[in-house]
Amino acid sequence: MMEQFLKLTHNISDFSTHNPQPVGKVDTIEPNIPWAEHHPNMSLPVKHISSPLEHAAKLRTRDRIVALGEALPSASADQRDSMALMLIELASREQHTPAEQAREQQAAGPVELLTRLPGRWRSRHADEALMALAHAWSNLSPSVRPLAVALGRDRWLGAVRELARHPRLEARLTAVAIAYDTADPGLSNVVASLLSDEEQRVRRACDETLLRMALKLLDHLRPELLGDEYAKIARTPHLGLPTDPAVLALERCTLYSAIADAAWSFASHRCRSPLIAALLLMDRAVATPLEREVGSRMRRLLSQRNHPSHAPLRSVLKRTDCPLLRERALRWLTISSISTAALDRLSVAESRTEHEIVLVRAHLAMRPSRASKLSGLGRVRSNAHGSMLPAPSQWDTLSEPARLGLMAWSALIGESDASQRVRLEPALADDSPSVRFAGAALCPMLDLQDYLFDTDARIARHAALRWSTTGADAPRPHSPSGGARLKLSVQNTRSPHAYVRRVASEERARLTIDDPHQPASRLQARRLMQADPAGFARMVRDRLSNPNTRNDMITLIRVLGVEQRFELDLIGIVQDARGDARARASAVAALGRVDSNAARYTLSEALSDIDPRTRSNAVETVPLSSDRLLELKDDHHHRVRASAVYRAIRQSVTQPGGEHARAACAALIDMLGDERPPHRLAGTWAAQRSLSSRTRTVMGHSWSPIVSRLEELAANDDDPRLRERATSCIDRLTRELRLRSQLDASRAEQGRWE
Amino acid sequence: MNATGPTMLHKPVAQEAHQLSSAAPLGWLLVTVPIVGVGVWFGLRRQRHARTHPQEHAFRALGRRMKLRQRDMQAVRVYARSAGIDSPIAVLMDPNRLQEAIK
Repeated sequence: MMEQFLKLTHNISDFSTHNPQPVGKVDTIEPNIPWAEHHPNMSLPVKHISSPLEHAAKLRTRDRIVALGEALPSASADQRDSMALMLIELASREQHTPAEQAREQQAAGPVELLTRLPGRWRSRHADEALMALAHAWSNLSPSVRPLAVALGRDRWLGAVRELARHPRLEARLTAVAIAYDTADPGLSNVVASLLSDEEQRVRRACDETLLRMALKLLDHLRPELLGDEYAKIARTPHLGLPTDPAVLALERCTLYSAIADAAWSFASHRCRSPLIAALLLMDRAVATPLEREVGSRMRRLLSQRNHPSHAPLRSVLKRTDCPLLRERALRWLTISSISTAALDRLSVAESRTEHEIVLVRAHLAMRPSRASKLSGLGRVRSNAHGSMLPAPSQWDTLSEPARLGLMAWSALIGESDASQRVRLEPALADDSPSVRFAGAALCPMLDLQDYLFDTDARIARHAALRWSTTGADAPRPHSPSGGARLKLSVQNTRSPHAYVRRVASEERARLTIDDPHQPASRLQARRLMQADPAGFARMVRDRLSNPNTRNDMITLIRVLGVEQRFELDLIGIVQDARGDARARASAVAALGRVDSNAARYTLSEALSDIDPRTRSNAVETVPLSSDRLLELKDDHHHRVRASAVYRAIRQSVTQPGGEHARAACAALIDMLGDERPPHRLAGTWAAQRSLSSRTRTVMGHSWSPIVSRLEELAANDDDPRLRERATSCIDRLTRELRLRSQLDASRAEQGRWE
Repeated sequence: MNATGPTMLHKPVAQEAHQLSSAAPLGWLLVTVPIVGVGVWFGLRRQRHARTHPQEHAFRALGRRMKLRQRDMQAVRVYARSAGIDSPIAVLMDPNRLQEAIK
């Protein structure tokens, strides 16, 4: 800028002092003056006309300033720069330091007063030249304006204030024009005061200027947030007055205050820009504490329902084409006096940006006071201008937070299930896991099952937890919904996610009676048996006929204690020699609880069955004499042998007979010392179930060898399963005996006291 | 005989005292004071005119500098008024308009 100034001033000095070459159209003027030679009365020399700037440059300073200032507003394009530069040169003066300014304000002697006179004259002339520049501001070229602005911010602020007080309309318009071009917040008071000017042109110009000043504070926002019109105003480059940025930051408070005052005095000017500016700046996120304090004054205006500005304020909030105001409407939904206008604004969005800016703030709607007002908007239908929420086709154009907000919003405003389903449908195929997670949390139950198959474990887990009937009544197993749910749960037991597999298996247990190992399944079976005994029996028989579910059904029969009812079915299973050996053994165990001749006969037949598991179960369940049991203790299969020993020891407790008990204990010792590992393992199994404080007296002298044998197996045996089983047996025995001794000691103590 | 004392041979001639008339200073004052007073009065008047009518003063100063005659100045005023130009100085500063005005 300084180089440009020096270059231009060099041209001017050449022109005004040394170079007689005239400016502009001087060359073309000379041939067009025929009267200079031919008219006798016209004796004016051509050179006097052709170089008026040269003559002006030779005038006294005051006259020169006046002449240039009067000529500049209407000067032609080729002359105005020269005139402006001459004025800038006159207007420039030495900037005094604060110390010098303070010294000038002190009392001085006569001599000093006289010596200061030239400086004062120069200063006065410089101010007059600046005023002349200010008057001619509208005719200054864009290249000269930066030079003029560089004369000093405070001087320009003073000049504009003086212009604003000028009685001439053009001067006031020029003051507003300077404020518009510089957008300096220090001029906001001037502009705000001129809002009440008697001339409509001035008021209109002030309206635009104040809005531009306010929008300059928001030029850091993305243009689409301000709307096309306001973004264009905010983007228009301004000619900043030279000053420290910290000073400008403080001057913003002046602008805030001017806008607040202008909004409160709306009745005196009826201009809308203070209202728009107040609405835009009120909740500015980057506001300083001072600005927030002024902002609170603006906020009070929102709740003044009877203020003259309130109706226009509501109108501005509803109809101004600025997406940022839609976000403000969401914030101010809690202010009762303006909530209706805010709801109107929220009910329609005309562009993607308007949707976006509100949806990313959807968390604000979680506040109950906002949520209650928004809850009725689900019934609002879209019109020609737009809709409240974006169409599903716009899903991909929204950002991730906006998509999340859209789902939350859809649930919040009370849309119908069908609408909500359509609204949330794109979330299923969204790229973002967060969006899919929200979809799994908010989608209708009909679509929830799709989320069970999500590749993200967190989403599938959340969907599974929501889909599960844990804590609620599961549908009946034979109902259509129960069937579909069972099918899905069976499918999800093969899910790649462990948690989903677990939930699915638990759900399957709640929906079927096939899994007696699950409490939920047993509960379901009991309910079904009580509610529909015939249906339950039919269902159990169907499953007993299926080899894949036969074992589970026999277990269920035993758990529910309904062996009597399915006696014939169980007998049929036992008698089916080609059937599954495990099922036959289970059926034998179940028939042991049935007191009927047919059952007893079947069990007696089972004692000679070729399958050792069946024989073993028969030995445990069939009522046999002690002699018969002792015969079976020599069976070649370890299961049968262990069952016989266990049964013999257990029977010795109820039917005391020392001989049989000793024989059984001897058989147990033999088993524990058998060289065949399966027999030792089965012997440990029998000892684990036989050794207790109740059988200790029955066992007599055999107790100690059995225990020592177990200890030896726990310490030295090669089979880890056997060691583990023996160890657990010894531990249990130790705990039991310790408890027994403590109980005896407490009883003895109690007897002594009594 | 006193060597240092005056001789008796030369006797200085006594000069007649030249006395001015008492009206002479008054005459001088009567001549200079009005002249100075009128000069100061004109100067102050001019300063006041320059202060109270800066445009008019500058117009005249520029016209004089451009060696315009009184009737040319008047023509410029008339032209500015008829053309709706706020200030006749603008006409003076624009060669084209000045040419038209004087023509």
